[in-house]
Amino acid sequence: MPGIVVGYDGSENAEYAVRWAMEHAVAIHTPLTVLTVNEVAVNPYTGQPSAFSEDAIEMDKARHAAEHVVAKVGDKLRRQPAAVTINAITGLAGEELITASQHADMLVIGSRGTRDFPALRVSEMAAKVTHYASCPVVIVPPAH
Amino acid sequence: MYERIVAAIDDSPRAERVLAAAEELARLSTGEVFVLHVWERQLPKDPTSPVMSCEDAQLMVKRAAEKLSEAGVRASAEVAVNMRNHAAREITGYARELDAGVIVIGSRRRGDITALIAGSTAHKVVHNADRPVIVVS
Repeated sequence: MPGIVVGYDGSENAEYAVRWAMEHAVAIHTPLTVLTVNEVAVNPYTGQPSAFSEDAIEMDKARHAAEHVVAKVGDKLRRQPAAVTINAITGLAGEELITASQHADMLVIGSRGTRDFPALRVSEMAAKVTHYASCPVVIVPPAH
Repeated sequence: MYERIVAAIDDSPRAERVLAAAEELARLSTGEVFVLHVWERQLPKDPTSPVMSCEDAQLMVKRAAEKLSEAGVRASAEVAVNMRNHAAREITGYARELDAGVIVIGSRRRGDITALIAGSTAHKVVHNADRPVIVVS
């Protein structure tokens, strides 16, 4: 996944991140990948994400939500990125973002996700991704 | 989007990468880079005090801004003097005052135990900032 990778989890904050990433992708003429992760529990014995057949449905929902937000944000922009790929996977969001950063030029994430407490300004996941990512990470706060 | 860019640097090799990223952003929309270093007041006989003098810090940001100007990017230099461990607050406050589009800051590589214990300035900036932060490692 060369170019810019942006994480999308359905939150309002993530929408700001998608917008920032799309604008930046236009500015530097680079492809954009929207990565959305259907987050599942960790198997306590293996440490691996435990996915079930129902997760395929959830993953599809995540993909549609990402497609929707790309179309919505795209409508507001004057110019569109050269290429936008939507990548929906089942797994652990933090791990997947860190893995994606190994091949990306830049990783964009919102500062908080859907599951975080409102008082928490930066999610634990965002902090973790920032610390372990292999490429520059952009953390986009709400209302940006 | 990038009219005003704050590049927060220290005296580590990461500063080069921070400045390169800021320069790249500035070129996108003929923006201006504000090179900032927060010099933290030193406590007497504190072995963990920063080794760089305030004059060295002034020189460091001035050189960085000059290098950017030579490369054709508008740049200015600033040293903010602050209490120890208050650098992040200073950086975010400075960006807010300028209404900067983005803050660029360096972070230690993974596995650096100091960052985990003390909490790095970059992490604190991410927590405090009300605008996008680019963390370069």
